[in-house]
Amino acid sequence: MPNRLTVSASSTQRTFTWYALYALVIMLLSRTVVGWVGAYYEQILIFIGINITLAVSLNLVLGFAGQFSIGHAGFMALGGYSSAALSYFVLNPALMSLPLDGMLHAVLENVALAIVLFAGGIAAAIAGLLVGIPTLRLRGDYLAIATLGMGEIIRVVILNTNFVGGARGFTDIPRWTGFTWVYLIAGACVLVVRNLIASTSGRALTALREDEDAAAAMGINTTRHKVMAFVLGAFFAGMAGGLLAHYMQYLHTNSFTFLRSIEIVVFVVLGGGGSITGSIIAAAVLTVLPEALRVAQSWRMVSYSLLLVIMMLTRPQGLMGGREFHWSWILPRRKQA
Amino acid sequence: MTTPPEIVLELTDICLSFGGLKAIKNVSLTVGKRELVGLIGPNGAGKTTLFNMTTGVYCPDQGTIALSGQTISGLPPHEINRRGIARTFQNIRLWGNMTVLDNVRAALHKTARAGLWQIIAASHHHARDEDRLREYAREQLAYFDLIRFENDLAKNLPYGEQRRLEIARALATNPTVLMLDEPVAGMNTGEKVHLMELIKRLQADRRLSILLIEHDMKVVMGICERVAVLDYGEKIAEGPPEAIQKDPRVIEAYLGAPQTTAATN
Repeated sequence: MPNRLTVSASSTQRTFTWYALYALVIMLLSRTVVGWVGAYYEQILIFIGINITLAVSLNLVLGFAGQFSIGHAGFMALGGYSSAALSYFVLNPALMSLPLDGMLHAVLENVALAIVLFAGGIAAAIAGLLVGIPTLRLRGDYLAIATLGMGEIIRVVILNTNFVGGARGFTDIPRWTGFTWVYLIAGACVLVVRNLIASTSGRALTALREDEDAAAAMGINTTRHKVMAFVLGAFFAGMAGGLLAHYMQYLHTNSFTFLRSIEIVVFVVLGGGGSITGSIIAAAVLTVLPEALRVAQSWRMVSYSLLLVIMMLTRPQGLMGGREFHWSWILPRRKQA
Repeated sequence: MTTPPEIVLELTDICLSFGGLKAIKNVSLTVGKRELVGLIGPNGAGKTTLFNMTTGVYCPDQGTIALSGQTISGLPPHEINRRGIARTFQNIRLWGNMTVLDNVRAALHKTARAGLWQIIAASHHHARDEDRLREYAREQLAYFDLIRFENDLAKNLPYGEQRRLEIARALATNPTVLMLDEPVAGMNTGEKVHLMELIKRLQADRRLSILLIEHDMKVVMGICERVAVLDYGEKIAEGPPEAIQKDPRVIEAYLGAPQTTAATN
């Protein structure tokens, strides 16, 4: 997994300018294209956005830090349920009780959404911290099993928690989110992971993926960095869960089994561990693929799995093989000063 | 007689067992300031185990390890590195899929000044810090004659360059004691001479204390000021290279006792 990401003197200003431009494009798209394509395609686009957030956040843990975590769906569930509980029990009733006109109501609704998404992310991050400190001492297969167990524990606890619906599922969550929010969060996730990876902390993470003992011998606090990556990954998984909750208006623990975690692992591995671009492409392709394969009818999932096998056989290093998209791919190369 | 140099690294009465096997038995060893000490012994004598204990991979069962008077035994490896001990590995352990430049930059991690929030927001402070780290890392690479490889992946370097990069990486952590585990293993004669010169130059330029495991006697006798010999986990001899060469116990450890050889003939 080569990592040749370099960032020349970037600045906060430029980062925020890029993000503001991106947000503008997303909002324009949401007003135009998304409205024209219809509800079915809009839903696919939204799932792509959520899956990008999940894939890129797991890539930080799995692709860059090299920690084999297969409990990402657990963090997603925790974030989804806690943000849904906050909006269903507290913020939505409060919002409804206020006598507001349309415009102000819409603004407050967005503020409330931002709060519940952040809360969901924080809940997942805290769980990530509590789980990460003991389990991240494990390596390889052992860590995989520990995180798998942790994801299942979160799911089963939620399944047996009656006030969030238990086995019936969590219903009547307010529909506060759509295309815009999903892609704003996905963009933020990509930006944060990219900046982190291109920094000294990112190099420390990559070093511990490449050789953990050597990393420790060179003064890198390996446990601390693993926990940091794990917590940040969990935070964005929690946000993605919150987005799903406030789009679908319904949550059920069946959506967060370990198969969901495996699906996210597949995004990362197929896209190429250590490539953000790869995760984005793989998340998009693998979200569209099962839909596109509806023509195969009852052979749909068989052909989906078959395509995965073929892709892995032909490109074992993943679609991007650790490389990143660079502007020089499409723009003429600028002369280096 | 010159006065012995100030002691930097001091191992006192170290013991370590793996289950029933006593790997290290009551070994004491000192390395003085700016001294170059060789550690030799037959295969399986416990040289690398001693290195691993000193760098925190294992904690000694008994005895203490002190760096500049402070006890470091029992601390985790990254903490020991921060206190001032850096090492290379017997089987090269570079971060293969990172570039040569990034191998050195990652080793500079502890000197980075930007916090997590500054990194995420890509602040000016962080950008300046990155520039500083890059410049420093490139200076290091230039010193080790590796600058022309800076953008290559470490795993694609020729063998001798990989060995040099490992030393460059260890030095980037700014140690007071450098521990080299068989630095010339697998090198040809020309490369060996080159590396010996480099080690001597480092000792002088960087005011380093160096502890070196080596099987190549030409290297050991050529550059070490003092040599300690381990055999079956015990220190059997210590002294200047010329004396060690003639020490009967050392000859026995390497070649077997002369009587036994005569008896089998």
